[in-house]
Amino acid sequence: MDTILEAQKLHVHFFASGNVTRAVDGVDISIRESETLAVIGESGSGKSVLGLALLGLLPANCTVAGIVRYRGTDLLTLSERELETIRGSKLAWVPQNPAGAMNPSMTVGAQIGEPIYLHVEKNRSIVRKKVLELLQFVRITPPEERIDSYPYSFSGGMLQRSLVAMGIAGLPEVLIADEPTKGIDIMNRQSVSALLRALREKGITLLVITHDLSFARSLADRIAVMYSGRIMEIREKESFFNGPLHPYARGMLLSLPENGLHPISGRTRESDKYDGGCRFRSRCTYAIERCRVEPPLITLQEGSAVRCWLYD
Amino acid sequence: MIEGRGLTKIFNPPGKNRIIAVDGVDIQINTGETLALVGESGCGKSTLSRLLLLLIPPTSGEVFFEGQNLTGLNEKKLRLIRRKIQIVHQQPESALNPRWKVADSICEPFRIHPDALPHGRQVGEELEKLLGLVGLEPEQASRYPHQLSGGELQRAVIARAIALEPALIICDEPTSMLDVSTQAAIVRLLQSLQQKLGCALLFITHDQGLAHMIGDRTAIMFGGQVVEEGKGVLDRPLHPFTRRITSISDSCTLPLTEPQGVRPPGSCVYYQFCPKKTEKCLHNPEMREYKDRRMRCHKIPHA
Ligand SMILES: Nc1ncnc2c1ncn2[C@@H]1O[C@H](COP(=O)(O)OP(=O)(O)OP(=O)(O)O)[C@@H](O)[C@H]1O
Ligand SMILES: Nc1ncnc2c1ncn2[C@@H]1O[C@H](COP(=O)(O)OP(=O)(O)O)[C@@H](O)[C@H]1O
Ligand code: SF4
Ligand code: SF4
Ligand SMILES: [Mg+2]
Ligand SMILES: [Mg+2]
Repeated sequence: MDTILEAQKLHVHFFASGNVTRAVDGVDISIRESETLAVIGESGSGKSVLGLALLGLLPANCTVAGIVRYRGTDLLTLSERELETIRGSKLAWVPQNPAGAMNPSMTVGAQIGEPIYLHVEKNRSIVRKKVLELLQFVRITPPEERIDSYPYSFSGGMLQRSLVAMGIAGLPEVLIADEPTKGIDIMNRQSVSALLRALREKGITLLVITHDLSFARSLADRIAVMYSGRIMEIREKESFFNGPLHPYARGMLLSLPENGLHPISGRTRESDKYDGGCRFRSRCTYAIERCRVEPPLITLQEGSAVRCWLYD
Repeated sequence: MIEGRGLTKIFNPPGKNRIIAVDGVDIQINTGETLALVGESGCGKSTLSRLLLLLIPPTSGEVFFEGQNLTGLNEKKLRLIRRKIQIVHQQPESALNPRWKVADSICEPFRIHPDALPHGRQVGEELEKLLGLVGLEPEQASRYPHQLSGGELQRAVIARAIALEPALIICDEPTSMLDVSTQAAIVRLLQSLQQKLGCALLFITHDQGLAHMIGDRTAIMFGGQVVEEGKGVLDRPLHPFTRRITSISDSCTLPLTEPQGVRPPGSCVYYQFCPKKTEKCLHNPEMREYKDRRMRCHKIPHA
């Protein structure tokens, strides 16, 4: 299968109040054309920053090193203008923070219509018709009444669904969605899930960042697990959920309410990134002498790998 | 300890149909108890929590806190009460002042209520204690909100909420954006803080598994009303809406029920969706006691 979007040795480091945060710290990942890849992992492990870096959308106070390629083009070497064109039409982003992502002084309909107008259709009345369809699609009903509403009058779930509508409005090839089910209830989650599934059937490549494991399970082809700026495990969905390999990934499953809500003890420290050992070591119950040296991402088979000495 | 009676909130957006966000809700939370509030997005959960704090005025209804009617109080007296009730919001991104360092936001309650600082203690000492309780590093607290991840932010918001040792913490989907392990840690954190401080929790969530784990009681909301409430409602759902949401499997494959026709004025809030509706349901059912719970549905035999 062809790779559509990939990162090699990607580092994104932030500088803030005299500190360095290595948000993404050596990520290698290949996203295959038309696959759905779910990225799961700890809060703060760098999932959103990875997503943003894949789109060349990072803030000014960071340094980026490595390669990000979309169909062979290194995005990190493009000008802002060249990037803009690719972003609007080929790669789209659905952000994590629905409230902050919407312009409070513009109607929801106008905001959803913007990418359609820019990249797909210049006739305003056709644009409006497409926006109404999108609103219906994401179950913001009745669309005729909601299209001219301002974001403040929407609940969190409605805002999130509007953002998905906005993301897909420009008909992208790759959609990166950051927490698309965040804060929405089970019924709405079904409609977002159905929506993404429909996009997937159209052949759109999906990168879905999520904390919702059952959502990831129902939707994805592969699962990537991030911890402390690195990919710790990447596997086919079924084999992952039948038995995650990395000790962190196992801990995640044990933290689910249905498995007893057992948090992983300890917490991530920025300093764990500097001692050269496995980054999960201070929290890992399997740690051995060898873990003082960080394991590489060990390939198990094509498209499947784990970063842990237990599998060497 | 806190009680809402007949709480109703109607929004009248200019030029739009009015929205009945909360519709005649009676709700009661006892000292030290956890009430889980579950419902679809847009059903009025956040509005209800803001009504309990009188952050927005109710269209009708009253709120009592420790026996005192809050509805008529002036802003100054309300402020004194509000320090005993804290909210942890759905979106920590917008809960902290973006131009302040996180530590300054956490200490803000002590600036507003200087007398709340324990005798002889410095703000810095309290900050250190709070950061320790929620598991944040001092370095992280010296950053600005946009420089923290969601989980780190939510810990900061909780630190601020517990600064004044409140009697009630309203948690509005506090973990919906956290990874499962951090979620487990935050829920365990809230539970241990509840033990230490003896405070009550109103825990608003979409996650039935979580509601089940944390709630002493569960209230189910639909269309602005609490339709079922009690101890075992998620295990033994009786109301047609509760039955519906508890039967959805994790596979996300069940087709959605689309509303049938329009909701006749004055009918049951679930009328358009309900497979069990009869002519009786054209009249909105009252809240009634039935066995171990309270419910709004005509299908329930009179107790
Ligand atoms: N603009 C910024 N300046 C400084 N540090 C930042 C900035 N943005 C993110 N970080 C830091 O980078 C790390 C990774 O952040 P990121 O937002 O990618 O986490 P995440 O995995 O998406 O977490 P969550 O699941 O909570 O959303 C965090 O430690 C965060 O504090
Ligand atoms: N300030 C407002 N103006 C108009 N409508 C509002 C306002 N706040 C909330 N609403 C509406 O009230 C209903 C309930 O919203 P909310 O309480 O946020 O739901 P929940 O928290 O259950 O997701 C929604 O239909 C929402 O659009
Ligand atoms: S490499 Fe060692 S410390 Fe790291 S996860 Fe594997 S066993 Fe644990
Ligand atoms: S009152 Fe009637 S319409 Fe409402 S939930 Fe009960 S059976 Fe259904
Ligand atoms: Mg994120
Ligand atoms: Mg809400």
